[in-house]
Amino acid sequence: MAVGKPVPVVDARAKVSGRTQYTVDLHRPGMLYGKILRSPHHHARVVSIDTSAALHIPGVKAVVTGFDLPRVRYGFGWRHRQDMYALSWDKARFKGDEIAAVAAVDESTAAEALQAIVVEYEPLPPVFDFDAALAGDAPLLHDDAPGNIAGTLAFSKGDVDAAFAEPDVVVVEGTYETQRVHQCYMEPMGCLAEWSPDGRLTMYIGSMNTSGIRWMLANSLELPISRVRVVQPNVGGSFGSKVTNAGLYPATAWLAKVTGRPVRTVYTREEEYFAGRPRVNNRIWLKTAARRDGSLLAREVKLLNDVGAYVEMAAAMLEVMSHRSDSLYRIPNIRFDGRMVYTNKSPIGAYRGFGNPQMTFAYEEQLDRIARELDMDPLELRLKNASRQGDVSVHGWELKSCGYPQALEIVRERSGWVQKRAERRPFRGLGVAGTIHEGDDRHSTGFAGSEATLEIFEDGRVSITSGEGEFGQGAHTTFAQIAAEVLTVPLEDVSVRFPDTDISAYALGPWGSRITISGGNAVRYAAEAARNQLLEEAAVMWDVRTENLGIAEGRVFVEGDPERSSTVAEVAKAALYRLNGGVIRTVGKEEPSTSMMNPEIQSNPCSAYSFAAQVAEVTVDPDTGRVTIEGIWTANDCGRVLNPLMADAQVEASVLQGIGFTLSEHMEYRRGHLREAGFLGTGTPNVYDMPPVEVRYTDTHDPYGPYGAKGVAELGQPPIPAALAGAIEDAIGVRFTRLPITPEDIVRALQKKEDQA
Amino acid sequence: MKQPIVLNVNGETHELLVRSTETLASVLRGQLLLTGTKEACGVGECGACSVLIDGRAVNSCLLLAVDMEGHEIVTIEGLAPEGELTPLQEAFVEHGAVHCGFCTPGMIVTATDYLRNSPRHDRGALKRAIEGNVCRCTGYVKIVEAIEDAQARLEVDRV
Ligand code: FES
Ligand code: FES
Repeated sequence: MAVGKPVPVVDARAKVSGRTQYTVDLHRPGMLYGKILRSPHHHARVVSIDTSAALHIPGVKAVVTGFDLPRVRYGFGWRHRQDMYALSWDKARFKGDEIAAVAAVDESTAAEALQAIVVEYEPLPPVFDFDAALAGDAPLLHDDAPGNIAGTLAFSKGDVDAAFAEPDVVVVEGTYETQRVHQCYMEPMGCLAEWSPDGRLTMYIGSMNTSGIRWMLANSLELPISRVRVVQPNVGGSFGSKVTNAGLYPATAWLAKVTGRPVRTVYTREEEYFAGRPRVNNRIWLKTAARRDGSLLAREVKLLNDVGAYVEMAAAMLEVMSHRSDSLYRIPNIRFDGRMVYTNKSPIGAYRGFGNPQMTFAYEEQLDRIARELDMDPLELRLKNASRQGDVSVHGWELKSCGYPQALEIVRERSGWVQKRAERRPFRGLGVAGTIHEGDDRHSTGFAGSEATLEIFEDGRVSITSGEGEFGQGAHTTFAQIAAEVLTVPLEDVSVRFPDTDISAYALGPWGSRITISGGNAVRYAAEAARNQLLEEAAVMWDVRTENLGIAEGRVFVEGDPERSSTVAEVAKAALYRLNGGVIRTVGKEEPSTSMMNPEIQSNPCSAYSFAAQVAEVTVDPDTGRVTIEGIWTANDCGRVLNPLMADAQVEASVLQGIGFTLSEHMEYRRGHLREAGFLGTGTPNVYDMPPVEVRYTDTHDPYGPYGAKGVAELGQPPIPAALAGAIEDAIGVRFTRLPITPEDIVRALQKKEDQA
Repeated sequence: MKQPIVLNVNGETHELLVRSTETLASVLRGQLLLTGTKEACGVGECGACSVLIDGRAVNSCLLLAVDMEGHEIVTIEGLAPEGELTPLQEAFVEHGAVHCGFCTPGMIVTATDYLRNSPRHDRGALKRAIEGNVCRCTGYVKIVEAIEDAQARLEVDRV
């Protein structure tokens, strides 16, 4: 059995010996080094760019600006606003906006060349936050976006006003603010571009989204899509972010084109902070009503998302944030009004949970307050309202499996919730929160399928080709496990190719926790087809009917006849060399029967939904404001766990990212200036920040996912901010509605409480 | 201006031409193509670039290549012969301490120094040793387990 076993990632041995090559490690003979000139202004008209001095520096091979590249605007997808140029030539819209790019024989020469480019700017007044951007007389970032509104979304279901007006309901209301944080993947963004003599572009990009990037690259470079090939090498982490077509990629492609040489560009860590795609910061106004028995009645949300200078994927983010969390609990009346606001900051991107941690932070606080007003146990309140298997949620989501109630029960028991709440200790507190996440979703393009090809070589080894990327999360290991399971071969005999748009089928890539379900099902179907082919071949070999054949432990055999048995290798070889035979090569196609995500109407965008519940216990030091996390208990409904070793670490890592987001991580802007641009200054957690974390799973079996599995990657982070804020409130009686919650915030709040007393 | 230097890396001697401002990380990666040593920050904040200098783990992004003459440099590629793994590397594999793997070489180099040289081997000393190494994929739990397991194995071996 390969499925369900704790196995390390398939390429772990190469990784521990330092032999794995990532994009930033790629070298080519004659390769040049690219670098990008960034705007030092938050908002400025580009008057002129003089590159002549830079071009005279020995070793500088090319300098390109937005005037050289095709001046086409592009966006994240065809449903998104097209508001971005590969290199900005009209104006700079944030400090770090891409203005020019150079290619030189080494990095230091390239850096020197950047210094020598003379750009004349005409500074314009910038806007950095919601209030400034939305003010009546605010300067506009984009002329075609009045009021700096990059997009809106509003809908209503049920009768929210009537629900709020019902007699004898508890109504709570509040505003919540969250900060920008960087995903802090360890491998910086980078790419290598090379052109073949026939005018085709090959890009090696540490991206999760090869097909999507190919589309964006082709658009931004005005190339037919068939002339662009995107290859994905190993990726040193992404957590959602590496789906962008930041100017880095088209600019590097252009440098390679004009120099006729391969060009590699890699971000510095500082650039990651200035020009990466961090988590969106938001202002969430929320109002919730519940009946006196605790049942949730209505919710109204007004959401502002600070999308920075360009929309990028923020429209998808708004859509998901608008309604995903609504299906965690049974709640019949919903109203949402959301706006994306342009500001002179870097654009935003995806990050584990895709808006869920922020929304959960707000929603779950209101549940705590309702529980308090009704004098109910907050965990009990959640259990009472929790969605259950078979439910169709307010948005039409069909929960074919749902382990959320069980997850709540597990964390209640494991954390000692009841007992600890009974024996209260000073400055110690408990908090609980939950989350729902998608598991594949039909979004943006309408296509939600996946395709895998599987080949069995005559030595019995199995090769899988899928466009669904591996970025460290273990997709290849999952795929290999599934194929090994179906074909009964050793896991070591299965290898998985990295996405290459010339070889692998169109794929959406690993976002939305869709890899296990979509990619996994495609691999399973391909493997099942290959198994059938093996049996058919053996039937020919032994002149028996396939019904009489079996396969186990890598051997095909005739049932009840131990004499007639061959290895998978022998059958594959026989197939290849017999008359009219051929290679064993199959295609698996997955296409879920879901509908397009559309919160304005009813839809069921995902083939499965994952859930999690968490309890956090903290001690707060009232003198220093320091929060010590005594324990985090998590219970995850990711269906059947395909690989506990990887799943545990995914949850543990997400929990730690959540802790960072709640207590320390912050890309802090003061009057638009990013105060720190490095791991330390922005509060990245290290080994000391990891508290005791218990990872448990519900015993859910999803009817659709491969072997009952659903996605796990995005379950660990979303509940953490709410659970920790709840625990801190339980400890000191103060609820924080703004993230991060720092020791200074706590000391100040306690001081204020004391003053008031 | 470039100047000639001689570096001893993984037991081999290399004659190189480097700029006086070039870091050891950059020379190892760019000239010797020893890309196992990673660069994730370039300013000493993440430990991805750790290498052993005369047996002790150091951030190679903070060292100038020209200062490294006469020192013994060992990178992740030099810890075990090709195709073999040290007990620590084995433990990283078995415990699932490796996900994307980008922090892994630096983590292993740092932990190698800890196992070989730390006067104390306990949770506290271990955490202190890897405090400067950032991993974003694992939450450190499996990494700590792997290092402790390697420690236990090595102690058994010594007996
Ligand atoms: S790259 Fe040297 S410490 Fe981060
Ligand atoms: S394994 Fe990815 S950063 Fe550690």
